[in-house]
Amino acid sequence: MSSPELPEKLEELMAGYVLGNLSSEEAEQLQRLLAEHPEQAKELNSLQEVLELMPYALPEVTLPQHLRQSILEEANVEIKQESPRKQFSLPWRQMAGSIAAVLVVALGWDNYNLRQNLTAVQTEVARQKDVIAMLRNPDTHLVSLKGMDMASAATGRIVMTPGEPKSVLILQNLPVLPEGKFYQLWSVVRGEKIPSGQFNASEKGTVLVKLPTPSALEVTGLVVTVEVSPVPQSPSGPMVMTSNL
Amino acid sequence: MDLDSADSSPINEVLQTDAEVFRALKGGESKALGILYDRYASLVYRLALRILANPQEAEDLTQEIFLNLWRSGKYNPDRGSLSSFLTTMTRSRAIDKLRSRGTKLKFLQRWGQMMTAETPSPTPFEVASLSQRSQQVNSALAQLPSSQRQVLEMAYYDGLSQSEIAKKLDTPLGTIKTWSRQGLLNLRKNLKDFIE
Repeated sequence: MSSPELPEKLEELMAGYVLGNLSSEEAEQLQRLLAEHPEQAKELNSLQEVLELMPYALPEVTLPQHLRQSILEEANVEIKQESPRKQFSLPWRQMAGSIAAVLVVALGWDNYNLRQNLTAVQTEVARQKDVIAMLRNPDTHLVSLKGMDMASAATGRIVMTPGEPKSVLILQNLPVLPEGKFYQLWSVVRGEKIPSGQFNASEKGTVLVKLPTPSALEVTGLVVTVEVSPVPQSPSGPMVMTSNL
Repeated sequence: MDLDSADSSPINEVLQTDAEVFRALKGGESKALGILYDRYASLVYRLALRILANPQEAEDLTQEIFLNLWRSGKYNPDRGSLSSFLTTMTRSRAIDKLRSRGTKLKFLQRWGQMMTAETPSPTPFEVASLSQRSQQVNSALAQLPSSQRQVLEMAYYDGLSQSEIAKKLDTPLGTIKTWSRQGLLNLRKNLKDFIE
């Protein structure tokens, strides 16, 4: 510890981080302190663990009797049908070619703009490397998205790797939205749509963005809508793209 | 233990650590899922029921959590305990469901990627039974000042933001933040011998 007041302040900030109540200044301060004291990062984990112990204090309840059996039966059925992972990973090889083509188009179209701005180029290069690394990973899933209605010409893919926090969304031929409107990606989980990231199309109608990987729990589909709110809780605008997992 | 071999590896239900059972689960042994269910279903279900306040939804979510563990095998023992992986997932999914019901709730931030990987050695906590764990956590929570405990519970179970809590309790936001942070730090202090 280089300064005496550090551990206490850092502890408090880490508790705030785990509780999700840091102000943006505090978040910056925490980031800075952690960069100076990387060995403290494991404390975050320990505090998260402590927070996650809370449910042990809940009163005991009796589990529904049939639940254990129904979960195990379902798991055994999946063994017999072969794991869904395996069915999923088959198409990726065939799709890798087309995804590369989409990439070339998306990046090619953007080339002029990229030359204008070195930082943007570097970002794009980093993204390309990421995408290429993701494509090499045999666990990577490619999911196609198809346009409809006002975006009927739109096509694209989302590239997801289990365990990777970010997915890459690559779309083309999307209409450019007027100011104040956004494209919003939703993951469909048990019929409910969970917000999964927002983005805009470039002037050429292309999209190449990294978004948080949709929480993998039983995602059965992806949907893109047009929204006016930057943080919509549920879709209110028109649906423009869909996919089925 | 060769998990890729066709013979099912024997699983000792009592002595194996969660990480060992999880390895067997990843090897496709559904018996391992049964063991983890016996260890954690009650915790997952309790938490789901507390947040969702609906037995059917709590049951569905419990099923979802265990089948997801089975299908994706995403848990990484180097990142933390299975117990906390399951509660984190249960809580975030449950609060998600609350939000999608139209309730205005703020997500607690998921913990980032910044922690370092450590190979965990079993702590007293890990070898304790569910009822021992419940007892320890209950008494550690009981030692907190009631304001700290209340704010922690509101943030954890109801997914309320600090400003929503401040409003509900008619207390300045800064005080709420201090209570919850101190509450968490005190909770860790009270559980220190148990978790380290």
